[in-house]
Amino acid sequence: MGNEFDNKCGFMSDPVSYLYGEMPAEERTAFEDHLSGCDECTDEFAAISFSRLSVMEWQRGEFAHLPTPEIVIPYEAARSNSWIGSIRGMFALPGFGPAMAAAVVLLIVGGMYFGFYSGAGKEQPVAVSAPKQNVAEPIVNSVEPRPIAPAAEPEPAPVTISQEGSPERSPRPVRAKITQRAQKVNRPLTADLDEKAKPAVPVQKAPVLSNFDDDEDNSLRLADLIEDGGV
Amino acid sequence: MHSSEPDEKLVELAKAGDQAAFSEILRRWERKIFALCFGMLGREDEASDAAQETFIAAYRNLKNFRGEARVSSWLHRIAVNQCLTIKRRQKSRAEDLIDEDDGMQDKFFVASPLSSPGRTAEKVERMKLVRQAVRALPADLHQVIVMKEFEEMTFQEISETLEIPLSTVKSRLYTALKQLKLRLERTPVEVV
Repeated sequence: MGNEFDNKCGFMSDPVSYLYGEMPAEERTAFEDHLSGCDECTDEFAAISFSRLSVMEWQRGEFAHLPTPEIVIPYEAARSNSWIGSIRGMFALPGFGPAMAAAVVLLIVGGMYFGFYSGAGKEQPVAVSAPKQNVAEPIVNSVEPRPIAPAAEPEPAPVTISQEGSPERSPRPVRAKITQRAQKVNRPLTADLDEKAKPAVPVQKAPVLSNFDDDEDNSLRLADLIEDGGV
Repeated sequence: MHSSEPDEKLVELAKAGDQAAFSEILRRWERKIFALCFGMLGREDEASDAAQETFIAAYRNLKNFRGEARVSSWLHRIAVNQCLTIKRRQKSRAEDLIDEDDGMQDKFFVASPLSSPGRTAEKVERMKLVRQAVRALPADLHQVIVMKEFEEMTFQEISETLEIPLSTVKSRLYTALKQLKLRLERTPVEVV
């Protein structure tokens, strides 16, 4: 039994059963005989008797006189709101708390795992494709509006995109391209030069440096002022 | 009408839509569940709410009861969970609010007309300490002592309800009583 006294006298007893009157008569007599001669067991028994008496006092003083509350089951409401009731009832069911805690932990761990790996995977394409945007967009946009382009037509365009694989595109003059680029974005020419320097690098993704739409940017730029002023 | 039916049969009938069968379960267990809730929470109003919520939750979850456990075990578990939820809410309250609660509970104490005011005050103070000491026990010990003292269940009934061995019930009760003694000794009652 797990509830024997912490006795050093060696007498195996069941004081709780004795205390609550659930000990068989023959064991009861033996226990009483032992108590009369063992101070240690008597002290232990007195301790648990004192606690029991205290709880009994509390029970009698505060609970025994209380009427049983009238419990009303809203049968119809319980049925009509059965889905809400089921959810509420789940919270009251044993084991719901640990199950929810486990689910939350799994979600967090899973979220961290996917967040980490998908985040790491996204960074690489940005680095590779960044130069491509610098080269590709201005060429398409520079076809129509610039009258300067024909003047420089005979010259080969060292900055044209070779990676695009579109042979029907006519080569662009450097001047036209630089002007156009200066007007559109504040991109350094080094991007083009870099591109030239590394022609063999296969670029597979469209560059996404920002969501800024170049075509709608009509603001005045320092490069335009310098050009118009002839400085 | 259903008074002679065993609990399990009543649950089957209630599942089939027999409200009278569930009312019989309610009639059989409401006092014990209220006693358990009172012993766990120490306040009549909260115990009453917890008992009400227990039976509503039981009714709503009738279909989940598959008869693997006893009806008493099932109801006790729901009640204990309701009480623990309320206790967690209480814990999150400020300490002064808890003291207020204890003060409110003192009003419900019924003093004997023969006892002197000093003695009554001592008893009230003593009960407050006992209540606090019992509430401070670990949940498994708390539950056993409440089932024994408030629900007046036998060791065998507690064992069957909690689905634990008889020796564990006695062991828990013994430990609970010893811990209670230590807690009560630490805060002796000052006689007015």
